[in-house]
Amino acid sequence: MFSREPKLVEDSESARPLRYEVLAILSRDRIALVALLVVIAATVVALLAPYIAPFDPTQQQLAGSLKGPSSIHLLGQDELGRDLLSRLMYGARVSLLVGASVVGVSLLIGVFLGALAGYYGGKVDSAIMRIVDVFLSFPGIILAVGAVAVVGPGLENVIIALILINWPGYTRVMRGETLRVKENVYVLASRGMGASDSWIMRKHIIPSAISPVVVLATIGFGWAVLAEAGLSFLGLGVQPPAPSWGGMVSEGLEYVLIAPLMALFPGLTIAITVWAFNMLGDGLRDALDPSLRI
Amino acid sequence: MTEPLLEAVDLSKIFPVRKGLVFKKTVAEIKAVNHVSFTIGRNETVALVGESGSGKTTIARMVGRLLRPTSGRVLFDGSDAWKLKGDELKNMRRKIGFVFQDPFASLNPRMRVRDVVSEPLAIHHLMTKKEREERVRDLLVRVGLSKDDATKFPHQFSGGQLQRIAIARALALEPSLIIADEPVSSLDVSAQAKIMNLMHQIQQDLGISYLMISHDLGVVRHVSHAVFVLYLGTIAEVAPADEFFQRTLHPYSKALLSAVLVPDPEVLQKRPPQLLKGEIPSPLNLPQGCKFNTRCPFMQPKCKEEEPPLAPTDSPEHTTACFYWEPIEKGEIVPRF
Repeated sequence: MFSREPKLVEDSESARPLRYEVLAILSRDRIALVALLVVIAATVVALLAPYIAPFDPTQQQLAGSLKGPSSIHLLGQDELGRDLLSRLMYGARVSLLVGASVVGVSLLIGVFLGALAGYYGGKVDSAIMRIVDVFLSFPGIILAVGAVAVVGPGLENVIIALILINWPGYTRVMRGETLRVKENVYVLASRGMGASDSWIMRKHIIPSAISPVVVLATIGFGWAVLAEAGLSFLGLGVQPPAPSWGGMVSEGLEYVLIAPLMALFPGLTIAITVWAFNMLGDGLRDALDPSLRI
Repeated sequence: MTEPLLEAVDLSKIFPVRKGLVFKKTVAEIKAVNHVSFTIGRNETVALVGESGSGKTTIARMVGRLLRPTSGRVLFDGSDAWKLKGDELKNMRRKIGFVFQDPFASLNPRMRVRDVVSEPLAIHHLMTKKEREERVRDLLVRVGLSKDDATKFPHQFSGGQLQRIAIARALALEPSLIIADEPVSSLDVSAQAKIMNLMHQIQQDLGISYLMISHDLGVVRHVSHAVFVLYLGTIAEVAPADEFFQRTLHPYSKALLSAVLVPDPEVLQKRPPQLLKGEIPSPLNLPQGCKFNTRCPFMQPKCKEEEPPLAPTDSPEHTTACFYWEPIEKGEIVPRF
């Protein structure tokens, strides 16, 4: 194994808020740190793509068709002579947008419904969780393919389809955590002081129950990037000529025997990004584990 | 006696035991509390004692409107606590504070002490942020902590200190009653004494009533005005505290009292603890007749058939639920073991 052993926080004397402790533990986890840097880099590239990309991603230069890396086109050119590096940079926008919106919306829905189901129990719980079960009973990506096939390809539809298959998982985790947290005596104490249900949820249940859901969200981000790439690869996502990582792998595949790098670079980018999000999730899980804190 | 602050009238709690996945059937009943009545006067401490499983916590939660009684009423300041709604309910919540057994569990580990202690103020939208901070500092000093502790987290304190924080929180709304459910049983002996003294001092200063729940008579001895002994959800004996520690009538109270640890081996030799045999019976299957008959050294045939009512004795305000308290006291019934 690498140096992934969780390190204990030695200094518990000073009154540091939990989030600093989490950062402190995270910063001692080298793999998580590398993953965090990759994630930050990808985000920066996506945000600044119009300023740092050397070429217009849709500008064709047929003379350079399928050319390998050169000093001008660092990663080479595709079949229409478009600059691969620029296309990858613009593709990051699509991937991260999909990841952020899918994870963000699913997280909101999941936290809200999961907390409701776990807190109130009974009929509310049954109603919410049966719907969750229905969604979970479908193989996720096939449901997404089906949904996009029905409503038509496009970025918005991909995002909606991925949210559709993502929220039940968050809901289920949040419900389980809520069930655990609500039994705490401090919740009873809060009720004894006259707290309303919404107060208890906002101040006690959600802050205490959300850690595992946040970890799930980090891993879910990588998953969403991969799912979008998959859908774009199948032609259901972002439509050409707009660049997306999945679409670029798909295009590259046609020329894989002549110019293998054309599929390899976007493929590698997807792999590294997804790996980074997963490792970040792993590291966060360790950092948020209360048993590692003094 | 002054006008009572809190009156519990004929409180009972039955927990149904349900089985089945979809159609839940009630297969048994746990009679946790049976027809318990008591009153707490203003500025008075009432001790509720009994071993685990005797229904002490259930009573505390019913009285504090955290658990609905199966039957019976709770009168707080003259009004039925379980019928209050809206502002009246909020008002009642303000007047009742809670201190729980395990301070590690009753304080949210994610909240700073400042937020813990001011939570009741925030819930009731009282004071500005600045006034709250001021109040938190005052409360911390009152319970014997430093005002600088406000920014710390619960994991930076010991059990005794945490219980002080819990007491500060209970005091934040200036309640007239504090329900303390085993407030010291998770602490070591020296911390126990300190916390009990603190609670006593607070009562002297602020005029607060306590419902003090404990399994240890030694803990409540010096602070309570009246003692209620509970056995399997039924009151076995009620007495003013001074009298109780001089003269107990119910065999169960005698056993409880003799189990109090005495830090003096000579006394211990003169008065060896009279230990009860066996466990408290399951409330799922209560014994017939007197609930204590399975463990009572003075058990008579009648005890297996009839349940003794809580009846007056020769001393005022001292009642006991034993048919034979008089012959037992006179030594006319010889203990079986």
